[in-house]
Amino acid sequence: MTFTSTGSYVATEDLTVAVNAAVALERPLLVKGEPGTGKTELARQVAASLGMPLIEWHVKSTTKAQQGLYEYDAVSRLRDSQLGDARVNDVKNYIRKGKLWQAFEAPERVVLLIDEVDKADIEFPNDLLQELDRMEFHVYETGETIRARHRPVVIITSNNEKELPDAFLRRCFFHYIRFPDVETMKRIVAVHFPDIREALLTTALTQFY
Amino acid sequence: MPGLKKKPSTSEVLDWLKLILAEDLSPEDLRREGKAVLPRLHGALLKTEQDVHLFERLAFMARSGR
Ligand SMILES: Nc1ncnc2c1ncn2[C@@H]1O[C@H](COP(=O)(O)OP(=O)(O)O)[C@@H](O)[C@H]1O
Ligand SMILES: [Mg+2]
Repeated sequence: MTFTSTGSYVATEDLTVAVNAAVALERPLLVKGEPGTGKTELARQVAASLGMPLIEWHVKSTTKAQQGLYEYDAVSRLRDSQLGDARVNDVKNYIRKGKLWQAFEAPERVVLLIDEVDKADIEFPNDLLQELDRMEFHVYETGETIRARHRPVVIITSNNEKELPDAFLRRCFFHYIRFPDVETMKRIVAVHFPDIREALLTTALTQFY
Repeated sequence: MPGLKKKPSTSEVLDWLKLILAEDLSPEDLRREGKAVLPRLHGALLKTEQDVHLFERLAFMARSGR
């Protein structure tokens, strides 16, 4: 199964090569490019074209790597214990699964999108290295180890707001989506506006190419 | 290769060779492309767009210098 352009997404030759190489190597695909170059959409298209479900993790400036694994809600547990709630006896009731956990426990191979990794602080990518490499992590509160049942296809995007650490880069297959050339842009426009007249399109594009 | 922002490590060279082997490319395939374009499957080796651009400029110079 390989990734190609779809009816709604134009993938250049070098982009399809990169996607398929990352899948073959079982390495995360790191996709960089200006906002609007189709990075997030790429993950959706890869999932659709490989026939895998997509799990999306959108990173914010406050996102911590641990949240992708799980979060332990100690506050709720304390409250429940004060209320005499029986749920308190099982710590599992207070563990909230993160996106990596969801991807790891999925019954089939999934695409995991870690979107805009550069939004978080610089520790974030390094903090995920182990988990993405070994595809497992430990849950201290319950003593379980969560292992990927099927190694997910990992797609990581960056708008290039921050540099990523070398140790992280070393483990990824890298692709930079540049601003499309005129021919690629025409194909992309055709996907979105199939009825546009060639003359109008050409004139419109020459305004800024 | 001087001037790279991030030099390829051993593991990255191994990744790259793994892909080349999987594609069953011959030495001729690699040589034919030679210095004319970016190395095939360069995303295994070059991890910043600056390094990709540097390679492209060198390839361009090699082409026009022939
Ligand atoms: N190669 C492409 N083919 C078709 N549509 C594209 C392509 N690249 C970008 N687009 C369109 O541009 C919009 C922005 O894409 P998005 O994936 O959100 O960009 P990014 O995540 O890089 O900021 C989407 O609506 C998408 O449909
Ligand atoms: Mg996006």
